Amino acid sequence: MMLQINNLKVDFSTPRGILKAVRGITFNLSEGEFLGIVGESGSGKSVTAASIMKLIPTNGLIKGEVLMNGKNPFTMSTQELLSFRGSEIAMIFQEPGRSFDPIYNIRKTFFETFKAHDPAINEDESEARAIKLLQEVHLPHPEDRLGNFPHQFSGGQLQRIMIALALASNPKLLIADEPTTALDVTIQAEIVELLKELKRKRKLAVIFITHDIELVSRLADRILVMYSGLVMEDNKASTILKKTHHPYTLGLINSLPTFGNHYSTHKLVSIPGNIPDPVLPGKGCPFAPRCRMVKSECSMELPALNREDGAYRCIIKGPKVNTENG
Amino acid sequence: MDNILEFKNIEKHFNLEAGLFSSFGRFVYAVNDVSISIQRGTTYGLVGESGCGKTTTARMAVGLYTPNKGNIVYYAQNGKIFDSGNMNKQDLNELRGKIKYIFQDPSKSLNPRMNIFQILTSGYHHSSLWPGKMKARIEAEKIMLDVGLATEDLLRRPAEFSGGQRQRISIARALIMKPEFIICDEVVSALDVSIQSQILNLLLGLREKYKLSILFIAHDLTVTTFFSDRIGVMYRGRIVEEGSALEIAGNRVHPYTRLLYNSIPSWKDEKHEEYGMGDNEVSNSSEFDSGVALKGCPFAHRCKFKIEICTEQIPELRSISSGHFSACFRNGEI
Amino acid sequence: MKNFLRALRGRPIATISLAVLLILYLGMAFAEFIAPYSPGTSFADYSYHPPNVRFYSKELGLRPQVQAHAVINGITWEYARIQGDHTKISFFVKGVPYKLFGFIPMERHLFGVGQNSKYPLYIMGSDNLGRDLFSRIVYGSRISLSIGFIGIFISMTLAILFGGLAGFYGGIPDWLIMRFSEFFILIPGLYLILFLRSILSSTMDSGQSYMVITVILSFVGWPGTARLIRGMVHSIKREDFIQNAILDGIPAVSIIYKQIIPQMSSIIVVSIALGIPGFILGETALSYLGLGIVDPAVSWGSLINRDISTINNLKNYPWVLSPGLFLLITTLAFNFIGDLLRDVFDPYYKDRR
Repeated sequence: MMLQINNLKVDFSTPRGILKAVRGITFNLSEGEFLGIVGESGSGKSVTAASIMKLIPTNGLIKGEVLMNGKNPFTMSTQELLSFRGSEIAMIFQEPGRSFDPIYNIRKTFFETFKAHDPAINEDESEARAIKLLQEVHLPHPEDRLGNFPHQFSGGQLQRIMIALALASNPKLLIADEPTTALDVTIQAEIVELLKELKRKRKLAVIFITHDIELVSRLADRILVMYSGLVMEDNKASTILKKTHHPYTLGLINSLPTFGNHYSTHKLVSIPGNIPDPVLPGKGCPFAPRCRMVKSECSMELPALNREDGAYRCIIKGPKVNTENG
Repeated sequence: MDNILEFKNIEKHFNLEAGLFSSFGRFVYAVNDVSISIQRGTTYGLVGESGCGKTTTARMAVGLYTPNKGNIVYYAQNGKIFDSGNMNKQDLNELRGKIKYIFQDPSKSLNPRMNIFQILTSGYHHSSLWPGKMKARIEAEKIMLDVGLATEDLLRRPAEFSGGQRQRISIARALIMKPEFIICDEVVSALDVSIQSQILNLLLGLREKYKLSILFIAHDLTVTTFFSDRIGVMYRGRIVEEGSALEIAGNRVHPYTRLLYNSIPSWKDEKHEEYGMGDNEVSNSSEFDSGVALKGCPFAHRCKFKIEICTEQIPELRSISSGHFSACFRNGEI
Repeated sequence: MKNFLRALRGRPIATISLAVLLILYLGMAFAEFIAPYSPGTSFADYSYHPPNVRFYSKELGLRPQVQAHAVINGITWEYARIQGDHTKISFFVKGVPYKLFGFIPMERHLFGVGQNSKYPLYIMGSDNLGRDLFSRIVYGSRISLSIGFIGIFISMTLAILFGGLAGFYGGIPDWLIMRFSEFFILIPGLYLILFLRSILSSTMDSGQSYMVITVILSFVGWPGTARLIRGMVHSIKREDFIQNAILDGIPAVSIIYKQIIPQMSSIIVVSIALGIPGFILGETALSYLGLGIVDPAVSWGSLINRDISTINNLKNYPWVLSPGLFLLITTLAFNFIGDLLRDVFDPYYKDRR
């Protein structure tokens, strides 16, 4: 296993009390695997990803263990951590426009990135490597565009450049935190295609964080569904949609219309209620108050992960089908 | 045909520079020759990517912008006709009581320093329909129940609510003055997946109950096709395809609509087995300069079916079947 | 309020500033009671008398007392101590009758040497006419400490009014208001003050000149804040909830002053705290030049006016600068409080600490 995460917990101290963003997450990732983490806002999916690289604000407290090829970022010195980020794991974010320094052109941005890992590099060498990377992410005419500044690129192009920068020191794992949410649908399709290609050609492992389960089901080998800081379901992408084991996953799938459905002929089944308060999560299953299949035991104690046919956190055994939608 | 709202050959451009010493004549063309008719009691979906002019079009309907060319006509229930080209301030206020606008981001569209009752009634208070505080209170309580909130919530502030609840408040705010028409500008795109369907269902219910006509703006073709009766697909300030939702769902003619469709990640649709760029009828999404007036088809620079005429002439909307139009020179060929 | 107290806890300087301001303003309210003499009481034989309060002598032991001085040179006003001549300072002594707050008749003063004593008590020395400087400072604080509040009130009202209108309407009103305010900013402040002062009558009683000075200072002070407010109104106007209010047909004035301005209350509070010292100093500058408060009214500025604070006087009678010390303490205190308020209202501040 390339990446092992054991019982990861992240707490934030806030004026209202301890906010339990991640409440114990365990998963493994092998080389070249494409993992999708699906969850709504507040589910802890972004915090999980950021804590793998130890990118947590100062009021956060990380517990548990992360092992990337045997190295634990939590025990590293600042210097080691800097080289670990980038050469082992790289990350791209939702809004590429905000990740660039507006006063640097792309040539300079690449030069600074290369220099951080290889202080001896000169500008010609940096330019050659930058062009190669930009070709790999299919930015048209990279040699003409190195002198351009971030505002001269569109959102999709910036996300491509962001990916090229992330690949600069050949990481083995790329964490993509909602990389397409801020982009138009047609551009989203292109970025997603690029990630798939990189995974194939570079044997790059990818953790793709999104709220869109349909999008990730087309991409990922495996999907992790998160809710309230916990893994609700963990299964192969091909099975999770056809044989759904958790009522929450089922709710996510059913709550959005399929193309071609019309309100006059189909009814949308929505999940009632709102996500639980992360400061006072309660002791039972966090989804119990919104669940259509809820039983009285559900709010007694947190269900354990049931490891048959993938993994799911529900006391009701077996795959679930929606009773109302047919 | 009983239309409630008609856009007639609307054109809107924005000055690129502002101020006393700015150079004139540099414009961004936001909306180009758009004509839309919305029938009373129906939902019209306007779909397109960011920057295509759909929000500008909608904002012109409530007078937030004035069209540079063309006019917008609203036929009120009581027989009064509002024409954007011939309206005084009083008419505009009256029109704004009949058309209500719901914004995308509920966290920004509610005044954080007011409680919910004040938010609901601040506009009502200044209108001629104001029934007095006691009656307004009863109406506000009723509308809160209609949107699925509790009457006690009237005294709380927006910060105490989640995103979905805030969008419900936004809807309540729009409905309290009994509008005939509402404009929903990306009302679900800022919300979580599990909340989106709650809001869509709520809107469907309220539409029946309040006999509303709706202009529904979204970038998501799936949601728009689900929610609307009729759909207009916009690209670079032009309507490129228009038809009933069921027709668009079954048969997409314009290459841009097809591109939008192919970009939908759907696992349920077996046609989409290999999702991605292979299907996309696009070489690479190159930038366009919206400062230049259009010479050819707005989509020509991305279209793989383009022929010579596409870059020289602007295609007109042409009928495919009854009520289904597409602005492409190669309608039916491709 | 809770945030305010929490922020106060880790900041001794701000706490002290708050206490100092509280004492100064209490002193202002109870001026007649605290000052041993009225500001006009003059002891013509004791011009430029040095401070004469002692806390120990062989005769009276350890207690506050007055050390008597005698003039040895009537031209340079040199004084010498008289050995063994001490008078007790007692508390709550009877003195000149006065009306506290203008309507409570009283004759007790906080401290003094009694009405019978011919030799005066000078905590901070006396001025050229032998008037007690401390009493004059206490009375002077009435003008100096209130002018800041009244001035900032007028200038903030103007700033909110003009800034709000300019920011909301944009276009031509914006252009006109902003050019108008730039006109005030462009002219060096002191010249503008002198110009405005000179076109107004030079013979005015103290009440009139107080009002005139406040208005002049407010007119010089509003443009900067108006520009700040205009910029913020301009950006808040674009928020969806203001667009909603516009679409709801709420009158513009109501939108500006009921919905937009409250959004920036924190910034307004901070600029008030940071703006007050400017007014106090402005009044001082005018009075120093003899264009502000003139006798018989007193303010801190008039106490250090140019007739008294000559180089020679400062060398021989350094205590005449003590009103300047009060000025310094007050402006510093307001600045520290302003800093504190800025941090209290800054949502990002807590993370940084």
